[in-house]
Amino acid sequence: MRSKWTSVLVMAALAGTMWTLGGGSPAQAQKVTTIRMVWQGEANELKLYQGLVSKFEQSHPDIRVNLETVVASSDPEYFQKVQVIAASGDYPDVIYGHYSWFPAALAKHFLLDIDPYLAKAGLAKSAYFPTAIQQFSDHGKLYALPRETSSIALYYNADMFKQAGLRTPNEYYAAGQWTWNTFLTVAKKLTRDSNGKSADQPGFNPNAIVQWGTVAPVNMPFGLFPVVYSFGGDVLDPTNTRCRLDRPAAVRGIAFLQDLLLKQHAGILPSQAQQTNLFANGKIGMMASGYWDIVVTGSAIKTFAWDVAPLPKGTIQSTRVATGAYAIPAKAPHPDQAWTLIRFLSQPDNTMELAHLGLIIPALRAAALSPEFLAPGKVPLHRKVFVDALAYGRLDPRTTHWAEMVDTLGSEMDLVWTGQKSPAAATGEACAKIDALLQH
Amino acid sequence: MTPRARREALTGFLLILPWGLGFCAFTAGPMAISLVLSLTKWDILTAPHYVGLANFANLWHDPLFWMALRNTLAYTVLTVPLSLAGSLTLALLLNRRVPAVSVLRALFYLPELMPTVATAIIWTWLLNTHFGLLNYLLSRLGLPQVAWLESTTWALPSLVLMGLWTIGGNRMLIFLAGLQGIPEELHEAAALDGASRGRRLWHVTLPLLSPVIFFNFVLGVIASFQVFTPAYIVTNGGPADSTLVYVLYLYRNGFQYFQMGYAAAMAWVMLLLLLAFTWVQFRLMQRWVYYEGGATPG
Repeated sequence: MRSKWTSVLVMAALAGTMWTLGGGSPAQAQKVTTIRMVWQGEANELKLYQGLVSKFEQSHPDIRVNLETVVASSDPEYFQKVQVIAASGDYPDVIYGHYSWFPAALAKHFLLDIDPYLAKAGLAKSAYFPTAIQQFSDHGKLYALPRETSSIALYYNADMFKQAGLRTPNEYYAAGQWTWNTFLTVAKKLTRDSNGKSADQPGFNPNAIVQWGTVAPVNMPFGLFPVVYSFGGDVLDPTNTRCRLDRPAAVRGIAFLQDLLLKQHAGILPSQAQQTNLFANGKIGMMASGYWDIVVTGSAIKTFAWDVAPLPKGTIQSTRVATGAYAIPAKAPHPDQAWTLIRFLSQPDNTMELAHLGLIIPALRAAALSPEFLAPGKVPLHRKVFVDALAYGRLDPRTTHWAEMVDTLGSEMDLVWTGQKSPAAATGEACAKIDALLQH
Repeated sequence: MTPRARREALTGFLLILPWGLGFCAFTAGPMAISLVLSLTKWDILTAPHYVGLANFANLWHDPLFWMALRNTLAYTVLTVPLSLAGSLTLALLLNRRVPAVSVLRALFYLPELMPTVATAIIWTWLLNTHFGLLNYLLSRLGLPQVAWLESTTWALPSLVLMGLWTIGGNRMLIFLAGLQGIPEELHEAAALDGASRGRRLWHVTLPLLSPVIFFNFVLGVIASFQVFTPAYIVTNGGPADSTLVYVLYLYRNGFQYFQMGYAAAMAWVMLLLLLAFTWVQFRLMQRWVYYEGGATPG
């Protein structure tokens, strides 16, 4: 008896749905094209994009947008999913993607050259930060429209500096004294054992550290590479076919980090610091990281004053810059409509809405340099250092073997941080393996 | 065949049809395709091309392949005996008529219900060099601190330790079921003959439990060969590839290094290794596995 009623209800529901579907469509005046956009984003970004898309659909009644949000824990993992979608032959029209997938996508002729669209729209590449354009260009042609950019700078616990009676990194920087040597001195003074002794005092016990001067910037790649760059080193040669990490300048940078960790005991490994969110808990003086940490870590800081400063200088002032962009797959079914959407999402007002969430620096220069974005007076006070760093920061070397290269190098570097290998020996072996990869 | 028997057979086939279709579409089909892919070079984005047995030849010369295989074997050699012994001991302890034993069984089973990722993250806390509970306990005992996850010596044993967290799970339940299938009168007879508890365990319980031990052993080896989640989440293969296990390296090749053909070849090598191992086990089984009816299957 009961099952009979259930089926009656199901039938009624089905009939109702069909009626609504059939009855709701008067003869359409225009042909409507549905395009798909594959992207990734966290909850706030998703909400924002849903709003932007419905705004877009209102102003473009001939285009509907299917927003496909990929849930991925990392950028490489996100790109795997895009790849798998593409491998099925079911090409999306718009992809948002991070720099790391670009070399491979480019080598496989996966993306459409968008220069003609830019020319037609009268859009100048110079409106964007040069590194952002460079990251997605090949032989002078642009393959993705930059959305955001980021650089690595130094977060610091301002209260901890004050209590130790130290000048802040920004003060040292203004005085032209913010070098890796100063950084080391400061880090040692901020590192404390359970008796309150700092790492530069006699009797300091390195086995009972309760407060660290810095997170050792050894994470791959955004911790290590800026250090290598500022010591005057390179990761690969200009043609991206040879590893250069075994050259003296890069080795000096890596040796500096090994010394910081193992001999001076003034740094903690990033993995240990992240597990317990040590910086936000006030146990760490300095931490090199990207713009996104203003929201990710900054919002977790409740008990102390903090700020950001440029990375210390080695032989040169440097850092690492990375970018994300919208692209159209070469085999996208509706490239024109895809461009219309990208154009809309990249408008200054829509870019600013995204920037307000706090995770990105707009790749559009006018937006990033606007007082609205730089928010003077808001914590962190020196947030402009991230934007300034875009002028001297470097892009990761471009290679299709990126993931393999980072893993190979990371494995050798692990042995440096534990003291099992010297920087020279480890980089020598890493470079031999990386060279073999790149010749492949 | 009588019409009735035919009808019954037909119903039977119809009933397993959904499973059969699912098996063909999602297991057998992909396996066949991966066998074909293992003979190709395929970057996922452009069309695959045939390279014969080159992937298998390259595996032979790939130091990371051997490293991954060695790590996986080490993990298996450590995990399987420890977890079998742990589960069996727990099952023996919980196989008694004491009050609230079912509550205890449920408590020991709980870790099995925890999502592996959540467990892995809890363990990174427990194993943290500076703030972890484990190192705190060591320091209370006056022992030196261990950099569990940052040391090439300790990272793999740390993963083994994490695996032991579920000794009270499914394996223990299977042991418990096996223990309860042992006829009471055999124990009574042995006790009447003056056999101590230890002798009864050795001469009655373990021989009668041997088919269950064998079952758990074979499944345990297969499962530990496929270990992936803790190595991916907790150590990501590091430090210095000391926890780069087989499936993690396979995954990296397939989805991060654009070498799907190579990854497919790795998958088939693993299948062959496991098949060989299981075959050997079934051969050796006759020496130590005792079936009560006297007949050994297979």
